[in-house]
Formats: sequence, C-alpha cells, structure tokens
Amino acid sequence: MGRTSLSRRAIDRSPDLARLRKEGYEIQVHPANYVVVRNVPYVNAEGGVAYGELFVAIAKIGDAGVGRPPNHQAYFRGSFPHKRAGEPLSVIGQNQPAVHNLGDKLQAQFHFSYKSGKIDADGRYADYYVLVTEYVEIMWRYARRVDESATPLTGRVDDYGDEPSAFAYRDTASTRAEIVPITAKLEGHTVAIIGLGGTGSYVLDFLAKVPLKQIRLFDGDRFSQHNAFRAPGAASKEDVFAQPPIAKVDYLKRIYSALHLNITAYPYYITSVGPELASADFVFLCIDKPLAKAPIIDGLIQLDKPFIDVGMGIIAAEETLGGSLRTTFSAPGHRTHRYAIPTADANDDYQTNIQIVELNALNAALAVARWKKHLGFYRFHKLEFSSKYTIELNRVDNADYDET
Amino acid sequence: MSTEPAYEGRPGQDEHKVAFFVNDEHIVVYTASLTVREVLDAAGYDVGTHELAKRSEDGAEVVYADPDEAVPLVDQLRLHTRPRVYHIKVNGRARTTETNPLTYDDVVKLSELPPPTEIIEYLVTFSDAVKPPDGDLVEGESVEIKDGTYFIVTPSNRS
Repeated sequence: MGRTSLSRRAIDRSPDLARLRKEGYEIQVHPANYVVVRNVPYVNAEGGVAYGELFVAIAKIGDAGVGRPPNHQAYFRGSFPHKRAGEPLSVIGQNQPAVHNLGDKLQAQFHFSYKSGKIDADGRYADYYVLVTEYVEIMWRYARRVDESATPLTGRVDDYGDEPSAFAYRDTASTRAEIVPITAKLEGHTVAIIGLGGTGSYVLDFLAKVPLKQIRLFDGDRFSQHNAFRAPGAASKEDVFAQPPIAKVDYLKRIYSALHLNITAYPYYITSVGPELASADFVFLCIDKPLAKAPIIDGLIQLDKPFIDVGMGIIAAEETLGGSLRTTFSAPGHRTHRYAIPTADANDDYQTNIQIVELNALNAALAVARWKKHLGFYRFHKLEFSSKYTIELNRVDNADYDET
Repeated sequence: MSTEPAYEGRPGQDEHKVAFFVNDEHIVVYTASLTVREVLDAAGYDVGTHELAKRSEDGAEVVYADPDEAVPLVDQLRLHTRPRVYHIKVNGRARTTETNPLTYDDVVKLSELPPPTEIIEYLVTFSDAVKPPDGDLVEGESVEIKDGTYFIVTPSNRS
C-alpha cells in the first residue's frame, strides 16, 4: 500500500475532494498545487469523443484540506471541447491554444473561465466538488450524445507520490470499503508458501490480494495437466503442454505478477530451513508428503516461526465423496495439536489422493483467514490453533484454544 | 430354571397375574403390559447392552427395537434377550456394532482404513451420538453411541 502520499492526505482531509473520489472521479492533488481530474470526456473538433485532463488551482493545502477554490478558472490538457463537429463549446472559455506551464512539469493547452448557474455571488464556486462537477458536466453532456458509455467516473485511484505499491494497480476494494487501516495490518510482511499444489496455489490466489512485502513460492514440481484442474483460474493448453515443461512456481508467478509485484519463485523442493525461509515472517505448509515436512517443521520451530499446516483426507464410498479438511496453526507455545500434523509417510498404497478444487480452495481460505486473525485483521472470540471442516456435517470443529 | 415371582406389579389383583419367561427365567407380574425397558429391568438386563426379542410361530425372531415400546404380556409368553446391535454409519457406509461406547480405535476399525499407527493418524469426527452428541475423538478417547450415530474417519495429509 505504501506510505500515505501528500495527494492522498490532501484528498482525505478535504470533504469536497473525498466526495469526488468516492463518486468515481479520477482526481489527484498534483505537487504543483493543482487538483487534477483525469479522463474527462469531451467532443473534439471532428465530433468524436476524446478524454482530457482538468487542472484547478489550490490556494493552500492545510490541516483542513484544500479550502475553497481561489477563483472560478481551470486549465485543460487536450484539444478544445466542442458541442458537436465544428461547433466549439465557447461558453467554457477562449479557443486559443497556448502552453501554460503550471509548475512541476504540469502543462495545459487551454485556460478556461466557465461561470455556470451554480457560481456564487462573489464569482467563485462554493468548493471543488461544485467546480469540478460543473466543468466536467458541460463537456461530458455533449460527449454522452456521441457515446453514451463515455464517463469520467472510472473509480481509478492513483495518487502522485505514493510509495511503490505491492500491487500493479491500486487496491480500491479496501478504499471503497473504507477498511484501509485494517488492511494496513497485513502490510509489509514476507510470507512463504511451501507446496503449490491445489491448496497452496489457492493460498497464493488469496495472498496475491494482500499488500505483502514478498510472497515466496517453493515447489520443485512442474505444472502439469492434473494441476490445472485444481489450480485457480484457467490454464492454457500452451502452458500445460509446454516443452520443456514449466515449473509450477514459475507458472504461478507469471500469472499472479499481473497483480502482485513482489512474488519470488523457488523452483525446487526444500528439505530444510534455509535463509530464504528463515527470513520469512510466516510460512504456509501445503505439502502432500508428510515425511518431507518433518525437517522443515523442526527448523521452523527452532527459529520460533509461526506457520500453518493444511491437509485434507477425502474418502470415496457409496459412489459419493466425503471427508475433512485440517488447518493447524503452529506458533511458540502452541506446537502440539489435537488435530495433529502428519509428519511420517503412511503406506501410500492404502492412501487415497482425492482432491477437489473447491475443497482445496476452502482449505486455503480457512488457512488464510486464520493467518489474518493472527495479524489482527479478523476478530475472534477464542483463538483456535487446531481446526477441521467436515464435509458430511458441513461443520467446523476447533481445538487448542489460546488461554491467554 | 424358575425363580420366585420377581415383579410386584399391582398385588391383590390376581386377575392380572401373568407368568412369562425371559431366557427361561420365570417372571411373575400383575399387569397386562410392560415396556421393553421394564421387562429387561425385571429380568436383570441393561437396556444399553441388550435387546428384547421373541420367536414368532414360524420361528422367526421378532426384535422389540424401541425400549419404550409396550410388550403385551400373556401367560407363558417366552421372551429372550440378545446383545444390542447399534446401526451406525462410518464414512457413509452402514455399519453395525455391539460395542458401546466406541473408542477411537473401534471407529477406525469400522472404517476399514489401515489401522492407526505412529505413522498414520486419523481425524475422527462424529455427529448424533449420545454423550457428547457432537465432537471428535483422538487416541484413547471414546463416545457413547446410539442408532444413527455418524462417524467420519480420514487422514489429513493431502494438499
């Protein structure tokens, strides 16, 4: 999420700007002290819809926000707005292009001076909300007649000066829901996922939407046909049958890097806790082979690391499936569990390996939600360290509560 | 084998005196009807471990399944007991057992999964039991069951 930028702070403190943003106007506060409205639809000289940027001066940014617009004027980047082909929108200002240097590399082509019916007796607009909506509306009105889908209300949020984000684009789900301070609790952590099978790949799917500092993926296996049926999304034939085959972690890193910018792939099986695990804040263990887990768990315990181990057992009988999904949270003081983590290989001949995608997803969801409780994101009554969901009963049982 | 009349019933109303047998044991009562539970109690059996039954004229065994069902008593009626059989489900399959309560090991055995060892550990979850009605079992624990108790036994090592 990054630190709060000047732009974001100014918008948060100014009710008129916050209202514009909430309604979907693509606004920012430029360091040269201008409110910038991007993506304003207007009709160009040829009668087509084009998009420009509107700049409105700010007198002073203070603790109370941006205050009242100092005058009724605005600058515009784009071509001159028209009502329709050949008929300039002269009410908005003079159709004389010029280079207006507004400071800090902010440049405009037109200087507007539009007095709508909503202007106050002193010749100024009451606030930036009224000014911006009046200016946008007079241009948008004509653009809508050409293309009714043209809109300035993109809901896009992208502030000048924000620190590099974990995401390729902003998490507006958190801003819209007004839970940014709660989401911030998840920020900056480094999390490892060991095992990127069905459940592990869904853990990644959920973590990719969290502002983590780093997500580290460990799996030596290649991405093959059966994986495609237990992984989130829809893998292409080209990826499934690639020659040479793609490593699971490389495939998933590629897919999820479209959203999360800090995913690292380690295309090998880990057999002990090396530096790349030791420096992670939290580990999700999603490994099929219990025997492979034992040395990793020992290493994590020695380092006092918290981790979650997941595992399911699905039994076919009477031509139906049933079974249970286990989620075990291990942390200092909670290293033994009622629903124990299997750490030795059973005779595999007798063991089923039935996994169904929504059960992988459910097990991953239970694990990620439990991790978020650990970071104070979700509330809890009693904090459980063992949990299992049983399909036949549609029931979650919990055990090993934190007594503190 | 015969014993003294064992059940007081309503003494003094000899017109209701009935003498019947449970496993060849002679029981005398002064009432026309008792519940299955009362008959078993009179004969000294626990309703939790025994069921009451009789032979029909064609020799078939008729079981009084409900402990609160009334048994019409007629003179010289011959009843017998048999171990109570519980009808339960384990991983969706119908199973019967005479054991109650059931231990973790008993339930795993009924699941026909490989026996639990230090290597294989199972999650054992149940519903519709007696005490407690819902919960789970780990090694060394047991639960009191009834007809219809439902168990789920699974490993938990796949992801």
